[in-house]
Amino acid sequence: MKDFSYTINALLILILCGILTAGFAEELFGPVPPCPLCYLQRLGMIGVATGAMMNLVFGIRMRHYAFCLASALVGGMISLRQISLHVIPGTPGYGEKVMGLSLYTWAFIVFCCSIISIVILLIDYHRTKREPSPLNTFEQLCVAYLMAVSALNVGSVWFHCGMTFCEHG
Amino acid sequence: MIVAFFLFFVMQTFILTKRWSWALSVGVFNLCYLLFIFFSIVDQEIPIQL
Repeated sequence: MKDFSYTINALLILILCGILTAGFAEELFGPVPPCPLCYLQRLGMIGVATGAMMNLVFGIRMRHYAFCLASALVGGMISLRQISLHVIPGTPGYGEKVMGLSLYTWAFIVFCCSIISIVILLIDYHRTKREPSPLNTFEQLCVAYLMAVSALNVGSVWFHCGMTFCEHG
Repeated sequence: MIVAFFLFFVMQTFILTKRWSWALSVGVFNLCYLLFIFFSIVDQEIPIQL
């Protein structure tokens, strides 16, 4: 029987892809286009999800979790930078607010939650069955969803920024 | 920016084709590239007037 950590990794991919899809919908139907820092936060989320994907495909390893943590730290740093740009009272935030918080603040919360969930998984690491096994249907769907979201984001960033650094935000 | 997104897509393709070392190398390189983009953007941002 497969270890429960595999399901949690698949759930982590699913949640992050859901957030990325919501961000994509906001980009399509929202009033403002995504800024460069927003794209970098998306990259951080894709990085965390890709680390979890490595766990699913190659088996659970400490270095895959390290990659997740590094991506989450980079993404958290980027969202904290964007929060700091709008932290002064009277400075308008960027984009729409969801439940009273800006999207970059939510991104920071997501990165913090990712770090906490990976830490919890690492606490149980020594008891985890780490050998890779074929993906079940749910895990295959999560991996396909992640690849679709990544491909969509490649198209989106090409549409908005072309081949540049996207410095116009 | 598109290069960083594309590299993550390439990394995922390497994972699916079971090339572990290639995938991890591309991933680590991409994280470094992400930091480079971040600091170059931060460097060019207009400072807030305090």
